[in-house]
Amino acid sequence: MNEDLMTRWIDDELSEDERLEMEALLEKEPELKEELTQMREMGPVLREVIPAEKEPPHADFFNTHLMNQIRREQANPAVKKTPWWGRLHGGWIPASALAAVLAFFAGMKLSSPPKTSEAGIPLVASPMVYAVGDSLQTEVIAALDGSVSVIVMDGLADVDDALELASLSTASYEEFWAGK
Amino acid sequence: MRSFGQGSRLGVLAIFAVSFLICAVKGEDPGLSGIGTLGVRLLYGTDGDPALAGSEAKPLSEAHLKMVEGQPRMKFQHFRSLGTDQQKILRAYENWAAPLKPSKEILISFEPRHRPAGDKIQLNLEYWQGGRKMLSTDPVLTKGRPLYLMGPKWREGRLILEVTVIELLPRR
Repeated sequence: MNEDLMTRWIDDELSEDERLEMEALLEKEPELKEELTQMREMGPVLREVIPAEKEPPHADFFNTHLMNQIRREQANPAVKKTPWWGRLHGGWIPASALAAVLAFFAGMKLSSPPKTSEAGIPLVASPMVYAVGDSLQTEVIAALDGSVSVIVMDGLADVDDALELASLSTASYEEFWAGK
Repeated sequence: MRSFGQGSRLGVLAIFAVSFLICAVKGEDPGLSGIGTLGVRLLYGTDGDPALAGSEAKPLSEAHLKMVEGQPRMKFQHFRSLGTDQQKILRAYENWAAPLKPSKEILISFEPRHRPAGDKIQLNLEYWQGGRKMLSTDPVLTKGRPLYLMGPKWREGRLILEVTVIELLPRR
């Protein structure tokens, strides 16, 4: 059966002719009809829970992280497992997607995300680094225990040698280092 | 188990109501409360003459120098401290550290991504130079263990920001 037709039937977006065609098909497959009807009834519930449009927080971070992931994928294309959803038959894709969305929102409400400390701090200390400007190159160097100790920024504009940097400073926290 | 009488219940309710009213009247924003302190120091590293940093630049203590020299890529012959600043890590807002105060030539902005866990905290951290944001990152910092941002060149050496969580307050 045409998946596009099913999806649009769930979203109530079929033309009159398409709707008649779809309903004739569903009459022949009562199990599928019941399943799709249930999905259709969930639509308004999902629309209430999921905002139609939401600006991601820290969009620059998000985009950079996404691009880094893509670069990593492109750099290591060797072994790619077929994901479990790829082994499902086409007809299950909408149901799987819907189940994933529901599970995501249920998880948001019921539990904390995994792989973080109790306070939500990631246990893997791998920071995202977003360098503004094409000329800036960054290198993240981790200490032996995996925590990040140095981020090298190459390509920054030099600070004017005429600036007397040291004389500008007034604050101090020497007492912190005195105890070291 | 002893149950509260009606008088006790009213007493508890009254305490809550009064606390709420006090906060409302004072206009306190819990997001502005400090959950820790971040120290930012501007270092100058050079293989040349350290006197180029100026007479106000301070040498590092022996222990401090050992820590700096123990970091990867910190292979300069001389280090000097050009300026420091320490600021509260606010619960829900961004704050700024200006190690060259009152100059805003080099700044660090920061805000927590989560509440602290033990001696660790994850921050959104940004490096600003000449009024422009140059770098954003989100490291997990451990109290007392600096993160070094190796920055621009200056006077035959390099400017390095040392970002250290000095204090993390336990959750109340």
